[in-house]
Amino acid sequence: MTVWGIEAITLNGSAAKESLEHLPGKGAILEIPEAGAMNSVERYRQEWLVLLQTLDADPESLRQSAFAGDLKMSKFRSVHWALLLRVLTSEHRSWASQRLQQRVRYDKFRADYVRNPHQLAVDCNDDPLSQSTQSVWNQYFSDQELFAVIRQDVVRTFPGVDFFRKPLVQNAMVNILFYYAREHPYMCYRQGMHEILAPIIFVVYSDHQSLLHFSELAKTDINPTLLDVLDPAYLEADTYSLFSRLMASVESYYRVSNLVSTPGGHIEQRVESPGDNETPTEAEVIGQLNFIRDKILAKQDQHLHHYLQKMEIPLHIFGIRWLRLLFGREFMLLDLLLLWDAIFADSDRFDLPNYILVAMLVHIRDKLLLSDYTTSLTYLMRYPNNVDVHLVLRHALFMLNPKQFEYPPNAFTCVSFANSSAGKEVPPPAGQRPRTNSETSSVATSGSQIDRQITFMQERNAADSSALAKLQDTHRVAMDGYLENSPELLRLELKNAQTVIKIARSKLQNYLSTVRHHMGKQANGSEELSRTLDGIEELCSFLDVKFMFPLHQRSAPIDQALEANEQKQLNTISIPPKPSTSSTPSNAALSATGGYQMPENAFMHSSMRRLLGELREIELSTITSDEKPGNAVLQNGLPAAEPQQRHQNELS
Amino acid sequence: MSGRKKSLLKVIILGDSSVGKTSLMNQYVNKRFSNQYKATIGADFCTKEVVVNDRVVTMQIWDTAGQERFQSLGVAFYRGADCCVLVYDVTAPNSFKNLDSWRDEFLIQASPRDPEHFPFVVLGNKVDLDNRQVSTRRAQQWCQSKNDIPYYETSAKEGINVEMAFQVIAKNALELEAEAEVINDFPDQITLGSQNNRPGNPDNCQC
Repeated sequence: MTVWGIEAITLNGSAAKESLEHLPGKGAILEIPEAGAMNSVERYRQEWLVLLQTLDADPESLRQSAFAGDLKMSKFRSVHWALLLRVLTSEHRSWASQRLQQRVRYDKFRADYVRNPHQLAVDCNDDPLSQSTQSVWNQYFSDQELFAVIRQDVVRTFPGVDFFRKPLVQNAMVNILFYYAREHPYMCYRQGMHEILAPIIFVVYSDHQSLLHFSELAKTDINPTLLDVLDPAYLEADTYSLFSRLMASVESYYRVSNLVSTPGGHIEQRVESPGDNETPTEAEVIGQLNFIRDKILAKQDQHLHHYLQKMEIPLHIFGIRWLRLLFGREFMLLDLLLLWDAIFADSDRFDLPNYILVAMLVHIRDKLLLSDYTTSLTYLMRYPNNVDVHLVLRHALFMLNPKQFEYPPNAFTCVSFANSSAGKEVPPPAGQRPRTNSETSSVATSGSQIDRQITFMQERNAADSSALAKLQDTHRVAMDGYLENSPELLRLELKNAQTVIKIARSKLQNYLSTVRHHMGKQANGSEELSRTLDGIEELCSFLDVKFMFPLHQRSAPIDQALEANEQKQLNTISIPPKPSTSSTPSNAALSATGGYQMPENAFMHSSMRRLLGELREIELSTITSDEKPGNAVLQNGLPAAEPQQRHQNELS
Repeated sequence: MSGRKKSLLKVIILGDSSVGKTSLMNQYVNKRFSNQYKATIGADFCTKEVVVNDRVVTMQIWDTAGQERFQSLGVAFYRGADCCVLVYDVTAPNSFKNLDSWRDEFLIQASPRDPEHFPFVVLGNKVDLDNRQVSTRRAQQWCQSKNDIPYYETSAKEGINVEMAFQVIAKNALELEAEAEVINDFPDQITLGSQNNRPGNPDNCQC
């Protein structure tokens, strides 16, 4: 690992000021023609053209962009979904007729299923009290019941999202679910279907709104196929096509053998011959979850598998909801769409959800392994909402197809060293987790704890170096573009490395205090020895690093705003202040400038790197805030023995 | 197993969709009510520490989906329950009628040791609404006919009777626990004694 810090930060400091003066002007000159060259309407048209061209040239590449998360900004996500789910074929010249067919079919539902006997000339043998299955009246009443059951859930869809409070949307959802139930009497309506429908109608509606917006801006000049494919008048019909196609794939999550739905939407046990009572009813989803547990989880994470077994936590306690809603309650809506992009892009067999479920478990394995029964259940029933959806997805894709997808370094990012001891079934108490500076300085460490820390560090270092090896591999082509330019991933990578350094530092300090303690007893400790110890202490202070910005040797210039955000997050990771040297007068000034310079630094790092032609993977910037920039230059990144003394001088 | 159960009460809430199971649980645990709970899919879960008979126990409340009848949650889900809360909506006669099948289904799935005396509690929810359709008398009669199940009329919205009902739930669940322990622990203690204490080791050495 290249530690190349102090020099960098100082150079960046000065460079950042320059950039502040130059960038705005230049940016303005550069950006205006760009913006003029392509306004939003043109970009919209362009995206559509590119989509059609891709379909002609290489339709399979649409899957890749869905896997890579490229649909996030797409104005045609519903069209992508229709293609991935094969609601529309890649033959876009016939889209208009495909759509027409689907819409006509949907219109027919209305005629077929909504029959109001009050307004019909009913057969004189039929009456409102008829129990006959042929009776229009009977059907009418059970339909009313079904409508009520569906509406009951629809009005409770995503209570926090205003979109789902619109009467237009709610009515459309009720109709779609009702027609689906009538079209598929063996499935009828089951709770949860409404939340499979919700993201779909959201995406279709959003695409319609984009089209309305841009066609207003562009007046008449919009591609007629586009106008037809995304015609807002067919919100219900087009959403239904996607929904029923998706339901075909997730149907098994809802199916319960031996159960039938009554026409009114209630679930009842199938009346079989009396001898048949032995056969238990079983939800297929439970079989599916057992399969996931035995075939995927057991292979991927034996520890966790054993743990859940030992705790008697079957996957279906939480897994029924995870699968039935395709993780709709576990992720925020926008993150969820990203997950669905990939699920739809995978295959009709819907293998990916199985792996996503396991990746989600593995992602919180540490929390689970360290918790008791009740806490574990709480984590599973209320999945933590700060989980990185990208990381879960990358990990799931890797497990699904290791040949095609990269292993995300840090898929196990939350794995602390407690992991290595978890196999012994005794979760280490909180005190044995990586400790903060203040804790370690005073506490005498037990041997076993140090051993454990060493084991952890070795594991962690091995993981890190393999991750680094991947980063260093210049011939590697990132299949999904994730490694190349994802700030999130790099940030996690850095966080990880930072943990290692923190632990190394606290360990060094432990050793140091032990040695000092013994030396003190001997009283005649040689001068050379004590200077050595000072040197070690010095090293400790150098390990007190904070990662400024991840540099990848081939990283493309990244959107500056995003990086600024990342920086803000990094800045909030506080570094434990060194007790002896923390309050120098330059502190305030430094931190004041540091506050707004960070994003600039981030930007300048990459530009400077290009300038200097440096090749390095990760840059560590030492920003022990108590060091003056001038001093830092002198040190030139080399751990010298001076700074502490100098600070002490300043203080005295 | 028995170690865990002593301090943990498993309570399962059953009833038709939209009768207010989730609301009751949240009113009891978090003292909050919202008009907009999502439909429960599969099951949900909350815990609360309660003091019953001077003992602190953790009450583990399992909320279920109204449509989730007939074993789709699996036998394991119901097994080990200490109390079952049956909820209906006083404005929805059907939800009252279905109490019978909810009770039967629970007894089949959980197969408790003593089905006759297994602690159920019935809650008639939404008494704050005007359009009441199931009379108190009718509900009480049903409860009496089922071995005197305790009956309470609640409003999760207004917090009426919720705390009190759950106190009874906890107390009844704990009583079942106590009985079960008496039955269970005698043979246990004998085996534990013979294994861990003096007789154990010499035996092993000799054989």
